[in-house]
Amino acid sequence: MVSAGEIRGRDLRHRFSSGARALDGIDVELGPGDLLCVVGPNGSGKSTLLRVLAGLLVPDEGEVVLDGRAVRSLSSAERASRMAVVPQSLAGLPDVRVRDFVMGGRYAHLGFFGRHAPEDAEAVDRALADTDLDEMADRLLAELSGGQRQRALLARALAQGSGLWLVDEPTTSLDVEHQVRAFELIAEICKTGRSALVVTHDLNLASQFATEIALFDRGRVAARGTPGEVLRREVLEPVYGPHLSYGTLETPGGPRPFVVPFPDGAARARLDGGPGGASTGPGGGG
Amino acid sequence: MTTRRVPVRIAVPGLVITLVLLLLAGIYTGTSGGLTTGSPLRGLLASMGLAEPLPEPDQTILRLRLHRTLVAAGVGGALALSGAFLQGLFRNPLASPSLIGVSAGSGLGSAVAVLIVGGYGPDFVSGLGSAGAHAPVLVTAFAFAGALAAAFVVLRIAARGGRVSVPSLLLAGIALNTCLAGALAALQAWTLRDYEMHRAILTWTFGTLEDRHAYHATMVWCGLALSALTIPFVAVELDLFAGGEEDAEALGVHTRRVKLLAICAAALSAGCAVAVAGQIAFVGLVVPHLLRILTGTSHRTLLPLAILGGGVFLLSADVAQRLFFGGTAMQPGVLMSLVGGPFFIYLLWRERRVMEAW
Repeated sequence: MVSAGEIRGRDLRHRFSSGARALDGIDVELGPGDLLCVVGPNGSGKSTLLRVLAGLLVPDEGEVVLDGRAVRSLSSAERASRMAVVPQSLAGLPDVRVRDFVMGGRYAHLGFFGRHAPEDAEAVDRALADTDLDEMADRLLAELSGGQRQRALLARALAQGSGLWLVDEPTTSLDVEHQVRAFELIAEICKTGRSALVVTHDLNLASQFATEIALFDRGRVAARGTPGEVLRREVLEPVYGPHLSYGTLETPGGPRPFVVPFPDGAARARLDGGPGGASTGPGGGG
Repeated sequence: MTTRRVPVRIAVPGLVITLVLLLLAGIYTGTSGGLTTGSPLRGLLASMGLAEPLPEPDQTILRLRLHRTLVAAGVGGALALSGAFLQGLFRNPLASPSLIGVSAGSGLGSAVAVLIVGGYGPDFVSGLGSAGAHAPVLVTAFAFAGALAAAFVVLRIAARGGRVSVPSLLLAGIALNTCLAGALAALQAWTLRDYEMHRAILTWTFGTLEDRHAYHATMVWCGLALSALTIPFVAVELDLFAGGEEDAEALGVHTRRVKLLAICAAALSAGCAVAVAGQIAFVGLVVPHLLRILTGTSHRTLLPLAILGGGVFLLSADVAQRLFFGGTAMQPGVLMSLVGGPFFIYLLWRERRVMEAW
């Protein structure tokens, strides 16, 4: 069963033991159907926020409420059945077959001594199919490429059947095709009434898929809004610097801003083929 | 990229049957040699009250040998189980009770207890008498406490952010082993003038299966059984630890509880083994390692198989050394170091490419 997928963090503050401020008064809220992309430079507090929301790190101040209950008051199993965490990579590489690895996502649902019911196996099969891993189900995880392993992590979260996804840089080692498919998968999940918070460096994928973007800078939310509101020169330049060019892509779903790393704001874009077109300008899509 | 071995995954039921047959063969061979009258099988059944006893002294000889074989099998199983718990917990195939100082902690605990009960005298051996009555329990309790303390110290030193790196684990083990060996040596030096006491402590250092009694077997098997009771509560969880502690926590594993249970179970089984037979190295390293190559990394099969495999391993070693070396009985601790040391060097040699990346 899929739970509600509502999470709220209020005035989250955290310092590392070195004294560096990681989170400096962050408010965050996600409801069913939301896909919030958290973007920002390295060290701006994105991954720390994800760990705090996941209940893996206790913030110095502030509280996280998941589906109406304080996340720290939930047991590990309760948390896992409501919220799936997709890490960027694993601290170790389990020496298991892909199917068994994905079954790990069902842990909170398993019976005594890891006994699993038919619906657990079905959930795993579905997750493997949805991530194009069904043909690799019996291979060892170590035999997969970096991108395939990334998809195995997504498959495991899918099998978990949680209402909320917290995803840390899901496209790091994926090719362009699978980057889009990873985001499509997350967007599909959100369309079924679940919600996702995705930490990413890819501003254009965020533009394409996010219902909302939060721009982080030095532990604070520098800007928050729709892609059109955030991916603008006057918002991004104070955070990322001047080396970006901005444009707008006309898509069937409406105009979408895009940002490319090119150190000349006067660069002009011309898109080849396709039904839409692109325009660039100093202001970008606003 | 590191070269990966192709795992030899063999059927678990076949391995279980083979190990059980080997264990039974080991018990039979270990108890039957040199009997002058009657069949050893009758003697074994008699010791369970299922047949007429053999004429004396054969029944007594058989009973003493049975104690020795049961202790050997129990100690081997307990050490291997302890190693399998520690390797799963530390996510590291090089962890074992002896390498990371758990056995040494246990040995020091035992030595302190021997010192408290006043030596390894007849009262202690028989388990009778006012001072001796509680001695085996006291030695086991101290061995357990020593093992537990050592495991926690290593975990505390080597773990950082839920991750235990191989070098920090091994270095913590070296440091702890050095400290504990120093403390044990100081204790031995202190008791040098008391021959009985010195001999008793030295016996633990070498490890022995001589003069084992029914209560030794009972103690090690009880410790092993208690430790094994935790398997259903940590096996799947330890599998999920492979991706890191934080990942396991996010999947719903109560990581603190699992760590505590696994450490206590590892310390209990290693502690009981050391309390009855002294420090025996490498069983806890070699057996889980071989089983992992044979059957894969699932702790649901690895942990129970470690008990069986460890039992067969130490019992076979003991029986073999008695058959081949005859009268010049070698202490099992010495034998295991002679066998296990080269095996550890072989492991390091085989993994040297992987280690370059550490």
